[in-house]
Amino acid sequence: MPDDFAIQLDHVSKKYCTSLRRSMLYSLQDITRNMMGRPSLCESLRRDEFWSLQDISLQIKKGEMAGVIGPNGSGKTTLLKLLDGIFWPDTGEVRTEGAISALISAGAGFHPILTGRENIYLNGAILGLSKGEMEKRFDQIVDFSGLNRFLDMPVKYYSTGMSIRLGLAIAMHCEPDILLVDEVLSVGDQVFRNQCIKRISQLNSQGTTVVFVSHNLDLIQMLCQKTYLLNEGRLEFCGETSAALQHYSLLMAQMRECHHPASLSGRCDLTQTFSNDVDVLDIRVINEKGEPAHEITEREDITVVYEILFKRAVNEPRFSASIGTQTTDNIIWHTNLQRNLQFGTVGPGHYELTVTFKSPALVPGIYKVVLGIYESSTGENMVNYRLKYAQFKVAGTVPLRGIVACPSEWRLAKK
Amino acid sequence: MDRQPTKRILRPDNALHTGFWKTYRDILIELASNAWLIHQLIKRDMSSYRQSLLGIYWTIVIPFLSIFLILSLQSSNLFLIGNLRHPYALFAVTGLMFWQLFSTGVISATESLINARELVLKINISRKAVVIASLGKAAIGFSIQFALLVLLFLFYKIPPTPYILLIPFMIIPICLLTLSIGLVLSLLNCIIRDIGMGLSFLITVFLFLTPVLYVKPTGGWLSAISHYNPVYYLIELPRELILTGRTSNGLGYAVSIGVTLVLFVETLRFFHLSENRIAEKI
Repeated sequence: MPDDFAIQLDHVSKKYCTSLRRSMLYSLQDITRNMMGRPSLCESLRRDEFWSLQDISLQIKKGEMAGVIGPNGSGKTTLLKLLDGIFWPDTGEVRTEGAISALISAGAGFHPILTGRENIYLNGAILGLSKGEMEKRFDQIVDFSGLNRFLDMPVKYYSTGMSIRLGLAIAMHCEPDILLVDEVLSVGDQVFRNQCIKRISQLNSQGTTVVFVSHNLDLIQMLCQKTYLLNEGRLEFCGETSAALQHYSLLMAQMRECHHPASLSGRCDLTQTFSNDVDVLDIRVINEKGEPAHEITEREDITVVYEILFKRAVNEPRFSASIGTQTTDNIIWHTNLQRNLQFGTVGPGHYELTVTFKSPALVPGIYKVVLGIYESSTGENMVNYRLKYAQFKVAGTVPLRGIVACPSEWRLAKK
Repeated sequence: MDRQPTKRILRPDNALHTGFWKTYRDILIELASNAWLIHQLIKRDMSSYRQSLLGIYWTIVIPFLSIFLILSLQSSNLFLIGNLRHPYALFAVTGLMFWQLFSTGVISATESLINARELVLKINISRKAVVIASLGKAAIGFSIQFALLVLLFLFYKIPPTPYILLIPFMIIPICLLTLSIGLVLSLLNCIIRDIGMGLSFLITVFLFLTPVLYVKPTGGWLSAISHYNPVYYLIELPRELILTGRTSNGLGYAVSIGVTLVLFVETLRFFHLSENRIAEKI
């Protein structure tokens, strides 16, 4: 291994088994084979096995701070456990140079009856600190945790926050050559979190290689020079953090589309309404020429056509037309009553309602248009707008956050 | 942080590519660098007694109860102890002291990895250290029963033979046997939980098959079983030495020690080869 790499993965794969019983059998099989001096059957998939990580090759330089991002279940934690040596690869090689410490779980191994002080020694030993090293660092750890007053209290009387603080404080003072950080920082209050992040940066500037797994993209963007994007056990992208984050938001947008099969085709299978008296036959977004459009540019008018079948006469229908994101239902919400528009009694028959949203300031991304219908005189909710919608896409680069688009100008001046 | 080697390569079946002697060197290095961890883990185990009134003295309850039980069984002719030249309590406590070192050791070692699940799953901790540390409880129980034995010698005004000073050496073979069995069972218990579930039952059966609470009969199937039972020899010879200063079966003891050593060397290798497969199954 060239001297400047702290971590090198060479075609590394790791598999899991979905069946408990089979996994028992396979372990026995592999152990027996090993005892007879034969290789285990780890390179191929047996029944009920699947790759949790597949063919990962990467190199992390000494002193680098590398981010790892990816959707849930993409293999991030498995990767960290492989780096830490808790799991062994099924194919390929994991090479590391230097002592490794992992912030995978803070305070694992705390004993509830032991006091905070005793647990610091115990946990230090578990994390690999010798007696001498621990004695040198004990005061730093206590200061960092801010729990001086509670040191002689059994840990079982600690609050969750307190034990996590203590656990992190110990782990932060192991001063390894390679530090692996999993999602643990998401717990604890902002002040303590900042303290931890500062400590990680400090270790990094002293030469510690840091691998940082997080869903907190801001942190990744600020701290990491290079970021690895995992998806479904494969390394989807590796490179500069800003580029990795771009790939990630794109990936997330794609995943949301897959999640809703209606998606951009404008069709929605869910036709549940609250009333049999009305049916929404179709919702579609159209362009100026009246053709169905799935993609529009920023600030372009959005025209939506709703085809509605009334099976009986409805007195004073109130239509609500709204645009939402996957997470927020109504970021734009209009009703005909708001506009002082009354349709009187609508007789039975097939209607086409057209609503144009005038140059909405939506940031690029995927949106849904939904419709609700009430009968004003009775207050009856006739259509469940949540279940009936179409989607469209505002073209452009999807930002990490924000829903309103507006141009901006920047200036930094010293007063 | 001197626990991990500075350069490390993980690949499938790593241990297969390591030479026979290097495997044992690796094991020795691992154990040496984890001495402090083992010490801390034993301290942790001991702490669970803090919230109990009798605490560690629970270990004396069992010998007292079994002596009482067996004496009452004997007085009603239900159970034959055999011919004894010493008070039964002395005979039984000496035997039970070694027996319980073995039985509690095997049971706690078998459960050790599963009890440390949180650690094994999340921290790259030495699993050998976890199993070895679990024997600490048995060792401390042993020393308390030893104190009880000394009190009994004073009570009966019978002096033990000077061989009693050799106890620290006499427990080595039985400890190695306990560890060997514990290493294998702790790993297998992670894969198949039946092992832990059936163990305390099997240990009880084994206690009745091993002449610990009674004198080895001179004939019959029980005698034949004992003849091939290394645990019997590892307990009987120290007991004879402490009580009478004479040994009746030195050969059996020597063979048992040999068997134990071979078993220890092999199980250590088995554990070393297989432990990496365990973290994910536990």
